[in-house]
Amino acid sequence: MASLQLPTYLSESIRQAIEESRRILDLKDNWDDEGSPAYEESTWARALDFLTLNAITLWRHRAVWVCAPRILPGPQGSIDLHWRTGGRELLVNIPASLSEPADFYGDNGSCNVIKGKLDTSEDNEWILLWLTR
Amino acid sequence: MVDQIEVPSDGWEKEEIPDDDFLFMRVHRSFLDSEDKPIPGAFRNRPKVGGGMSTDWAKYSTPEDAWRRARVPEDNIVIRFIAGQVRRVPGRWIEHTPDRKRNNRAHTDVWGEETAEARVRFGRIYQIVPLDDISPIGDSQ
Repeated sequence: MASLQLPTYLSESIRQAIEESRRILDLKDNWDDEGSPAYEESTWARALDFLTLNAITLWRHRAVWVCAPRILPGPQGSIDLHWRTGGRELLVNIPASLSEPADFYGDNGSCNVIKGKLDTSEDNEWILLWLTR
Repeated sequence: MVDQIEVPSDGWEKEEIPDDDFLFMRVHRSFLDSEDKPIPGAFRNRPKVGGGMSTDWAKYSTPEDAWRRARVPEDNIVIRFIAGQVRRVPGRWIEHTPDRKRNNRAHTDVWGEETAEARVRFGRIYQIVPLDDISPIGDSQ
């Protein structure tokens, strides 16, 4: 069982989403009968670091908790963070390779669009702030 | 002067898929959420290197045909896309790629990079094919 130490200072909904996402690590090679690989704990941990660090930063700066994303198995060993909230949708994909940047896309169903690559080692609070607008 | 068109001996030449036609795609239950809807990870290329998103063109396949091509059909649902809507997803394009090896004339690849944008957009344009349309009553068990 994965044993990531979560910050004590975290919203309950995010904490719960993280706890539920541990099941991703139980998926073995070929878990979909179509050759999908198992998920590395390092990928999962990177996804959770991205989520928790930026959510906490947003809370400290703006006193707003972003709602919890769905933390989902993505293609080829990657992990998806998926939000649908307040008319906005955001997908952040954390690749299996630690050297690759995250890929993201979000829009409000109209002309407010954000997309690109993220260095997950940097402060990316802005992307969660965009979700709360 | 008439252009010479090379037609494979099996007659399964590539064809242009009209915008109004359906493309069927299987989704394994592992890629369904708690409401039995596909999650973004369902919209993936297979295999990652050199593969497209694998679908079956309705001209040569029923939803049930697509479903039965799964290794374990009961572990899958079938969704459908309208070809013209798929073509409007940025960076993606459709190619009819008949697969003689697997005896699948309907096989069609949706090519392009597996981006977050494409997967969000696919998540907005699919329709789930009702189970009754896939597995006629009395055909299972």
